[in-house]
Amino acid sequence: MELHQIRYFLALCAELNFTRAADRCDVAQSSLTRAIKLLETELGGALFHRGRANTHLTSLGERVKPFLARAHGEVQDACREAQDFARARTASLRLGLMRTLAPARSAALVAALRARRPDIDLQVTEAGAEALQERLLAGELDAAIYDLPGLGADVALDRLPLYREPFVAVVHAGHRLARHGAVRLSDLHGEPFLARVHCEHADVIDAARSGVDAPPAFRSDRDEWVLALAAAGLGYALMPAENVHPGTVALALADPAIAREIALVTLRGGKSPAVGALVHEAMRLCHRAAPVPDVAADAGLLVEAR
Amino acid sequence: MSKAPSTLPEALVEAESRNASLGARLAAYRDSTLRIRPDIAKAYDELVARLDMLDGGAIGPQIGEPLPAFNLPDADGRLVSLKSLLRSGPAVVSLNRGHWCPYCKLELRSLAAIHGEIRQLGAQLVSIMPDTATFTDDYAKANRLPFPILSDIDLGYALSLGLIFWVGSEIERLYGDLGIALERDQGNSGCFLPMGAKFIVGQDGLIKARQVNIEFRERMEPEAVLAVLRALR
Repeated sequence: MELHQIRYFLALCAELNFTRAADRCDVAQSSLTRAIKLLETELGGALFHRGRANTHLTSLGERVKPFLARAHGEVQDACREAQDFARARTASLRLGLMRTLAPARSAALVAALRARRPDIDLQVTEAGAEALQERLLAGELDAAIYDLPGLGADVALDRLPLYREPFVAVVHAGHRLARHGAVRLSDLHGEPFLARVHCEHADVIDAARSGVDAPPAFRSDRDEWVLALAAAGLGYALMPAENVHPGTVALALADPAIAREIALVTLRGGKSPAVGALVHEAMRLCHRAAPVPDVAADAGLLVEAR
Repeated sequence: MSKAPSTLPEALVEAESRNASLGARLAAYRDSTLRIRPDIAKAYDELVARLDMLDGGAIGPQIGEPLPAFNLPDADGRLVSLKSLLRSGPAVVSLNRGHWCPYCKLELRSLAAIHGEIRQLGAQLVSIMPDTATFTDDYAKANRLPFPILSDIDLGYALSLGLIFWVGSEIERLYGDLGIALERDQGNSGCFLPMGAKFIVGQDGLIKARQVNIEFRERMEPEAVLAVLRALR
């Protein structure tokens, strides 16, 4: 399978028309047709249904397209990276971190990158997930670490999953369920709820609580307040496992299991060498880090607060 | 000779224990596969026949052409470039299918055995495979491979050489059966693999010798690698 065949294939996916795809690639239509035909022989089936006015992907075409687009993007990134190095451009990197992240992991990544690539001028800021995404798309950030429900569908963004963080129920040490390890949300029915209004998953949590509970007893956009009130026995909260502080007890949430998928997000295509270095570093760290246990799989395990 | 191995892992151990050329050990493992899992042997034969039909042998960069540059992370995430390898002498670049591939394992372990001689001849050796660092790191340690294994993220480099292929749904199913999870190993769900290949690159960046194995159950003999490097001295 050759690079030019993949380029033609992706052009045809975009244009769904042999003439326009050939124009786009600046080749004769016969060359493009032949290349696609050869690709189909290699893959052992048709990639496109050919219609007079309606060329579209077959299921085999749909099957292989996402990977070929990624692989092709890698090649382009590599070419661009080589050119950037040739020009010896000063590497700068603007990284955004989601406000609700527990800082330890992100700090480890930043420290590792700084140690390995001291030449990169690294600027780190924190903000809410939606603001980070807007700034990425506006070109004001080169990369950001966050999760936003529905993020996976955004075609303009590349998303390298870093880790999965479950939500836990936070109660005080003397709570009747504090020794239970895992709870169902319904076990907490009727108890005062401490709402984290800044949470990117607030809608998911509201939906899980709907019909179960009364309105929140307290609302805050600061986890310190929510944790302090939980520790004082004024209610329970639902929050990402790594945000829990000592003085409270984190109970695995078995039903419904809620989790956030923290990812390193960058603009698709055109990655600078500095972003490339960050991606490589993140891959290395996230593959090495012990995965956060899946709450549903570990139900029954007491997750003591750190 | 004790009784014939009855599982694929046993067959691999048995093949490796033979005091024979790499080619003979690869053939021994292949014969055992045909006996133990004829379904896999048959699917592989069909795959190789399909790929062979396309353009037998002429694929990939040729002798006398420059090997395209790469800059890929090793198991520690350090980027290793072809340019940096060529700084001190020729480079032997091995394109491998993955840490799970028994043929690659036989090959890489036999390259490990001649690594000292490769270094004495002033050359560097790297293996490039699509697996992520989690797997290459453990693999290099478990097999005591004294050379870097670079992760070809999303097979971008293998694609730039024109050396990737789709394994097809039949082999994908058989791999699932054998516990081979390319999606987990590579971090993508494409089910694509690189061809097994060897490129020996002179300090001028040009390919001095190559072997691209559409028939991936055959590999370049380590002795042939050394012979080329000696000729380059």
